[in-house]
Amino acid sequence: MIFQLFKKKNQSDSSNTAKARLNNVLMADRLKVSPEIMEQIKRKIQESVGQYVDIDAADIEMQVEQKSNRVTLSTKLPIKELKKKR
Amino acid sequence: MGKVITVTSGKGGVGKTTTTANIGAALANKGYKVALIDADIGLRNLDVVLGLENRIVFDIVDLIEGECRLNSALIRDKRYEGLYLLPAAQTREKDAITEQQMKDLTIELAKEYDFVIIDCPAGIEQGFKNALSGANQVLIVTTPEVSAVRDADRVIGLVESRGITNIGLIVNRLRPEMVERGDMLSVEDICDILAIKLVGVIPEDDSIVISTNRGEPVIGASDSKAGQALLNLTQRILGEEVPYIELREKPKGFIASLRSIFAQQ
Repeated sequence: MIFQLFKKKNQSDSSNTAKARLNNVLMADRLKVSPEIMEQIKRKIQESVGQYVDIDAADIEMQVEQKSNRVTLSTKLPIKELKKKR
Repeated sequence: MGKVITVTSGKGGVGKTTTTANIGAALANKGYKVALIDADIGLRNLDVVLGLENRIVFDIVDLIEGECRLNSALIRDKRYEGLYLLPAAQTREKDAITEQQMKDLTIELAKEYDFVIIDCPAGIEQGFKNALSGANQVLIVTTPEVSAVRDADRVIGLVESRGITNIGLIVNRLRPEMVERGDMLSVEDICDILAIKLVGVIPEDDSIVISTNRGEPVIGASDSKAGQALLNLTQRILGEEVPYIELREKPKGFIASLRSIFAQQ
């Protein structure tokens, strides 16, 4: 029974997987582009911003929001460290 | 003039028909006069969910084609005073009715009824467009699954593009214990993604299957959590503020109850 107390810590997280997958398909749906193009957009942003700061590519988040008639694309680019001035 | 509410979802099998039947019964229970329309021509089901399948003489297509009068097409539910059903045609197709005909019909019904509730077919084709043609308010039913939420998002876009702004979200078949252990999208997750006003959360509940087997609305079953959730959501449709019920089953055992006490703090 005592194990029950610790059970909460060992949570599975398939809901996070679902959330991430849902975000991806909705992004493509809302922008009316294929997931492949979305990947390209992500890569281009990473490339261009990456010239100035070191970005953690694995943790980039992109989100498309739809509010009435306006669609907005927002990105979260986690920065590892600022690049030294050349 | 009564209010015209369309219940839709995009994806099939998420609970549109059950939700429509129960909201209708709950409104009738409160003393309103309610007409339910089954807009799923070719695949009618609202009649069986309500247990009225043996009483159909005429259907919506007969009515629109002038084969019968309004009052002879509407079936009166004997258990819920004020509840009426206009059944779909089973042997016709969606294009047997136009958007304009459906709109005229809802206007006609709204003169006599406080609420006209339309059970929309799955999909986004003709039947969907028909079901939306006269709507003042739209209820989107979804379940905590990627496919259902994705379809809901698409449908919300289509509803908004028709200029309908009164859109409410119903999350159906939620399993709180799965959400708790991180294996199901939470209501908050879904609301964040869809960004429309939440009007109800209905838990997965065996009593839904049982009452559907019998052809009775689940709101009549005492001690059903889904029934309670449907009654509460009906009150929210009427503009009342109702708190969301605790959906989890009471935890069993001493440690578990201790934990729940602390969790509530």
